[in-house]
Amino acid sequence: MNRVIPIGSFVLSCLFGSCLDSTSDDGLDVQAPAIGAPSTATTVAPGQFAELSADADRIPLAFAVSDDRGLSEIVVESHNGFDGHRHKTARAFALLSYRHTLTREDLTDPLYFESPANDELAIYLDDRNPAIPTDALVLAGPYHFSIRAADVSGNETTYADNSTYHTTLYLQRHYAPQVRVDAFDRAGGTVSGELWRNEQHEASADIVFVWAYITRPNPNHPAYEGDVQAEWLWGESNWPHQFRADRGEPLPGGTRIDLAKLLGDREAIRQMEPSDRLHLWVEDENGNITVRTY
Amino acid sequence: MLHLSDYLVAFVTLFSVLSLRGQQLQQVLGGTVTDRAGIAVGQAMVTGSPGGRLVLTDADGAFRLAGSGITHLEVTHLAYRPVRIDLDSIGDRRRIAITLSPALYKLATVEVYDRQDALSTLVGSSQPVHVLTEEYLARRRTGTFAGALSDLPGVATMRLGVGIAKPVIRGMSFNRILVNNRGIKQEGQQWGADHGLEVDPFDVTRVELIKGPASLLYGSDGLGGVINIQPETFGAEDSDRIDWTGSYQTNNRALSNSVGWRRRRQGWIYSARVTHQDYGDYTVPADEFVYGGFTLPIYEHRLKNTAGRELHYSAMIGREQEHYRSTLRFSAFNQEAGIFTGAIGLPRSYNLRHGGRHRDIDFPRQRNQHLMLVNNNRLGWGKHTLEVDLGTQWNSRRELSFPGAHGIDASVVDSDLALGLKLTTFTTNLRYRYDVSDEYQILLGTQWQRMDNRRAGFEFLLPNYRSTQIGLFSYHVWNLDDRWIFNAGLRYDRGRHGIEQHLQPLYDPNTELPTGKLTERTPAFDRSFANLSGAAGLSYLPGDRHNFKLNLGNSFRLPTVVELASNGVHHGNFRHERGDAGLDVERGYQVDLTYLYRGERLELELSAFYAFYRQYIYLSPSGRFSDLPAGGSLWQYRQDDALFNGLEVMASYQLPYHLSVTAVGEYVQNLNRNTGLPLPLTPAASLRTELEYGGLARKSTVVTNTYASVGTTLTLAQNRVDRNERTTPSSLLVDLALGTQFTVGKRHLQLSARIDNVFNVAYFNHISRYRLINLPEQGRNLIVSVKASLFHEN
Repeated sequence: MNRVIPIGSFVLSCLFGSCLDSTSDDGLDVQAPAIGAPSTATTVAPGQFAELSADADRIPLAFAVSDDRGLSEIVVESHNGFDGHRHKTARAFALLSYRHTLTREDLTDPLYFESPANDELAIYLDDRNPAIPTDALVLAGPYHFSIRAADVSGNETTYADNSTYHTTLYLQRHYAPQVRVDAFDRAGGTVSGELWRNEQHEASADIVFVWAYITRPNPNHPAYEGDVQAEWLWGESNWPHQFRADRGEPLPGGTRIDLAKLLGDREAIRQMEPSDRLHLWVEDENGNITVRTY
Repeated sequence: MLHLSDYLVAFVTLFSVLSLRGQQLQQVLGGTVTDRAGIAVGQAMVTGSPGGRLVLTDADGAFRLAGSGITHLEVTHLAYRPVRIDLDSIGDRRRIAITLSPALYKLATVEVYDRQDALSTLVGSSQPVHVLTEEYLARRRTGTFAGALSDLPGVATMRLGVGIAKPVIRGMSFNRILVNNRGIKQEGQQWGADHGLEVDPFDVTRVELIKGPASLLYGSDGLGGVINIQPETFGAEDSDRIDWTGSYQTNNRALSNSVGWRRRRQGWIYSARVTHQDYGDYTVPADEFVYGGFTLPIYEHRLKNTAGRELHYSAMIGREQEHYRSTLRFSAFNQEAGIFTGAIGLPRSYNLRHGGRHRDIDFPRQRNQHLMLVNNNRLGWGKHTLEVDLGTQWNSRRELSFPGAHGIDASVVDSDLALGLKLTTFTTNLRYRYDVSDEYQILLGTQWQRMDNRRAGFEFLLPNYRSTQIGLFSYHVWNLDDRWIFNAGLRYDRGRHGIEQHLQPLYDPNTELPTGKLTERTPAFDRSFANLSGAAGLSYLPGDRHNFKLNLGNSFRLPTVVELASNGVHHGNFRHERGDAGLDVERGYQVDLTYLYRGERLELELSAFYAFYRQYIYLSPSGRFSDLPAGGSLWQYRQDDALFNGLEVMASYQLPYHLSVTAVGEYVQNLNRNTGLPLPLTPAASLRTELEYGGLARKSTVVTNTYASVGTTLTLAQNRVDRNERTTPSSLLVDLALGTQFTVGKRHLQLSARIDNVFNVAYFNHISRYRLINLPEQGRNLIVSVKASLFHEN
């Protein structure tokens, strides 16, 4: 009976502890496609937190996708990142929504794809984009942009490990609220400048909401969008949001707002560290948002 | 078709008939209890059943017990295996000779009891079974029932934060684990990783956990294991007690209170319980997490919107007499729990600020309710036992979210209900046990279940459906001699799913308004299944200290409707999941070996298993992306052959000076034979050790059950992962515990304190939902508990 334990243990470990592995690891493909800059550039376009000027007619695109076993699908997508839901709908405006899927059959080289020079994938910001009706204008504001890819084995890029390329774009338009900062005195705690409605454009509307906030980037993580250190709100947002306040004190006006008077003398501005940033989020009645960072 | 009213009538009629039986005459029983060597066993507890009267044997092993209607005696002693005596087989009831065998099964705090129901001893004869006492569960209670099971070898917990958890047995969970709640298979939406087990953690006093395939006796879904929640136990005749249990957890400021009442009087038994739990956002040992290339802040180390509230209640009335027991029980589980703000969609730093309201439950959140009405009946006459269980369950799951986050304008939907699922289940179990002789027992049974699922909300994942399943089984146990026990059984099942078509409105992605068009997400179709399965096992006791068990099982599982017909975004997994209407029955062939040893100081249990599954159903990435808003990638249910194997060890050793050490180790691995990769969500190997000192106040009659312990849990890295699944690093956690009990008269006051994750280590749980977004698990947590008997009579 003294042999029962060692013999029993041996049998158990031999039978049930044996490793379950594929007979050939060489055949396993667990690597997701890689998304990076094309051969003609050093970075992916659009870049991180890109601000698209009021005159831009498209979102610039430059990227490459590769996989060592074969690409299955590439999806380029952009949609609104207003982080809220509208409770007012302005019919003359449309949210930018774009999605283009490239399947294996669309690719000349199943292992490598580069955004073509002729901009076949171009994301137009006017009625050349089927998502924007001919009688409508694109709403200015922050938009999410992403490039995702999957290979024939099912390996896919993900947000979690940052292998999916994604960023936020700030689309500016002439008919959206205009922002000008003339002086930003951090030591004195004041900002001078103006927010105004561009009345020369027939599609402009009165300013209804202003959100000013200060963020502090993490120097160890350049992609960090920053902790909010202080914030101030005026008016009421078109985009009620579940995680931040949507309204504040009444705005002094809807067509021209003096930034110096609006912000006044702020201790939080004096406390800003050199790397801290001041953001101005300004909305008009139609739902257009202009975001500027200083 | 049976309606609810039919069920209620059946409940009441059966309950009434059984309750109208008459009183029995007083009888006097007596005898002696000895061990196998004929030496008297003193201090053995002899309990008459029904009625619950109990006496202790004296130094000569003698006992004398008076009572009415007693049909069975149960004899228990810490050092021996419990014995149940059927008085029908006893001639002279004043001179009953009872022989006890050494308790091979008792290991540390995990004990095996003899059970009163028809499955008694049958399952445990060849498979590893743990029976957990109320004390065991109370020492490990952290707010969820599943969490209290995770110290057992081969058992892990899949979590969504701290308030939602489900058990994983030998790497299997979801619909491969069957929870049998007071005889009725509990049915909710257990297919989701972010869906918890809806059981009041305070309303569980005894649990039997079977590891490995048990679908022969319990039906489809008993593929990986079965968790049997047993009926509550009652004190002696005329006993009446009210207990209060309260606890506070520092990590999430959780406050739990539960009041329970149990009474036995004149053959009637009653119980009731109310439990309330309220917890705030929990803290983690990190002030930031990295997701999608962003380093995002965790303000005050507290995860926003992980608070929750729970209110559970239950009431039971029953009649227990000479040859029967009948109970009617209603229970309600109500939970509202937030989901970490950053866990749905791309988290933004300004989304994660608290505003100082750590008990608020914001969007996204889930509201879960599970109602159960259960009628258990047992009739015994001579060598025959008949059991009938009737159950009705109403399960409601409501996932609430902002419509805008799903590409839908808020003004066009009438509520924030993203996904609502209401499942109604009717169950009938019938079991007949015939003890042909001391050497041979037969168990015949049938199970019938009907489910009706209705959906609601602006999102779609699972269609409306109706399902029916019926199973018939025959199970036999032969006690060949003192050393060999052999069991074998056969089972036949039929099942049918009737799935309704679902047409989902389409929304314009630019305006987020409805287009007026509909798209078919699921067509209408029916699927029927049939399956024949069998199992056999043996137990060999070569001596008083050793026991070998071998089980050869063929288990099965019918495809669920979610596997056949789902087609939508499962936000719990960040992906679009689509069923396959052509899936077939999943079958497993498993060999299970268990070795038990009990020495003077060492107790040891070694278990190992090897299983081959034909047509194992799993979600596989399609290599395509979803067209649905926030749909992520498209994953498709498919089935391929798979292998599982693993080892479990549990050992305790009694050291000098009232010290004892316990070690629990587990390892499970698997392989998808098609992809050559492991299956996802497989728990990492782990080793838990615990050193306990029980030498405090040992001679006191007022202060008892005092203990102090220090434990460590080493979880190895999980590098065997499926495609698109990330690896998880190893971790080492330390915990401390202290407890005691004050007894004055019949009143008890139990105090306990435990600190989990003493060194506030930042670690990941490979099978946690929040692992997907790189969130570490809960940090240091001090749990203080008090249990007091507010009223105690007899």
